[in-house]
Amino acid sequence: MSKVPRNFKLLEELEKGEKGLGPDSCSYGLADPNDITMTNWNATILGPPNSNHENRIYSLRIICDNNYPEKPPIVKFISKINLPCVDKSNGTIIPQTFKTLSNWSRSYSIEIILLDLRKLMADPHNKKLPQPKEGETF
Amino acid sequence: MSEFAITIKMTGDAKHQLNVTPSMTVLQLKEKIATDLDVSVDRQRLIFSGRVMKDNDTLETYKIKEGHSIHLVKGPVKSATTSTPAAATANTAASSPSAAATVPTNIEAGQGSFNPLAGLTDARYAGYNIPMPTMEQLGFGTDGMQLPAENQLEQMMDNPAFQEGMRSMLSNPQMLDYMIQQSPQLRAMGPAARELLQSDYIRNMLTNPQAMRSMMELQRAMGGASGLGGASASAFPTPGNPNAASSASTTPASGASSTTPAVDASTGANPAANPFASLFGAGAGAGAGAGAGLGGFGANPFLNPSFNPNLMNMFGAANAAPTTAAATADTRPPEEVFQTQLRQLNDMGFFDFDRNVTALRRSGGSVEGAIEMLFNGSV
Repeated sequence: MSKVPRNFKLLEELEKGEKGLGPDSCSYGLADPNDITMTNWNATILGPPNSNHENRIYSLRIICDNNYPEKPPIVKFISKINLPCVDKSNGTIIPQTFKTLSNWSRSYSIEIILLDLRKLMADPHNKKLPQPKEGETF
Repeated sequence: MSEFAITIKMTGDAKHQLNVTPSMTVLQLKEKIATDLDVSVDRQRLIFSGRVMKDNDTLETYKIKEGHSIHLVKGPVKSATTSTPAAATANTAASSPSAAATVPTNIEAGQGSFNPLAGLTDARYAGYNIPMPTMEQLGFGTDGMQLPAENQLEQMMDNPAFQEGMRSMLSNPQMLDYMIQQSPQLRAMGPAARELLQSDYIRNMLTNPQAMRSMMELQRAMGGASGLGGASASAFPTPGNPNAASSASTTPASGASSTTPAVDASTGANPAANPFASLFGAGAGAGAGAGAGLGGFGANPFLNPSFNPNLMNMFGAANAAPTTAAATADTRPPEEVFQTQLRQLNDMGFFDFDRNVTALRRSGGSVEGAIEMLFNGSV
């Protein structure tokens, strides 16, 4: 199968994000809509129900550098969160501890990262983890 | 400034078109949403392109254009307990408060003047205490995708207490009225509908374990055919289709229609929906406290506008009490339930999230089945 070039893939993801074609539980778009390199992205994850994350909205920053989608993007929580794969000091997701990033495939997307993170939040091991107060940021 | 249309996307698939202007502030937009969609301003949280929108910014700041979509997340209800009185009363057996809180509030919606769930607390139901299988017994325990063993269902059906429960439901004139009232087809039939529902034939069909079982085997032999089959014209009517419900009361072949949903719904990715309610219609997922939208094929009212979950649902309603405890896990969104399957579909080039989910629901989580439906355009 031919490889989708970076910009085409990101454009497609951008359109999906802006038009809300993806799932309800997460949203993403360019941090600066004029950024033609499509590098910096904002994202939100709506905390999964029946967990300590319920009714919270988590903001993230996703950086798709030139190696995307060959290499996974850098993913960072802006909202404070307590999750095993998140660096407690700065909110960055440590790729080795988050399967979606460590086993990255170029067919993955920002949306898949967000959904997997959300799934991680709902994981029985994580859903009752004590969470910092809502609204705090890294 | 020229007006343009944007989409407001609420959780639960509801979408609404709104006309806005670029100079509008987010607060003004929220006020507009409040009047149009009946969600108070302080409960609204709007997200666009991964950003939570601030009240004082204008839409222009976010570069919102025609056709874009804003996510509306409803904040917590101030008084969660008052909004689910029906759920609370229905919750006679499993009275954990958290379970009650997760019951969708729409349990009360569209119930008309007679609320069959409220009746569950009546003395006439008090003694039945119909034993319900646990989720594990039905094979929903670990991955939520397994078919319940036929013999287990049969055991359940064999239970005299259950049969008695079913009979009493069907002989309760108020319940019959309610069922008839809820179904346009049955209503159109007039008094005949009541006779049909009360007839021994229908009653036996619903209470006879052998009949149920043979229907299920037949259904299984048909494979996913019913998922692909046409609507009411099909010999195996689309589960949840109201026509199926009416044909169930009129034609002998119809036995299948009441059992078909059983298999569909139980295979269908509805790990926490009351498996028993689904015996009598996949629609159970929509009403009987089992959590809207996640039900098996046909349980999604958005797919089938004429779909009437309430008719068959009534049988499920009797079991609502035990259900509510199990319903807690049901709030998982489809992207979680079908996570691996969706990824596979994505890998194969099916990017339309809604269609993928619909197809997976109908196929009961089978990727192959979903692909078939995606290809033949039935979703």
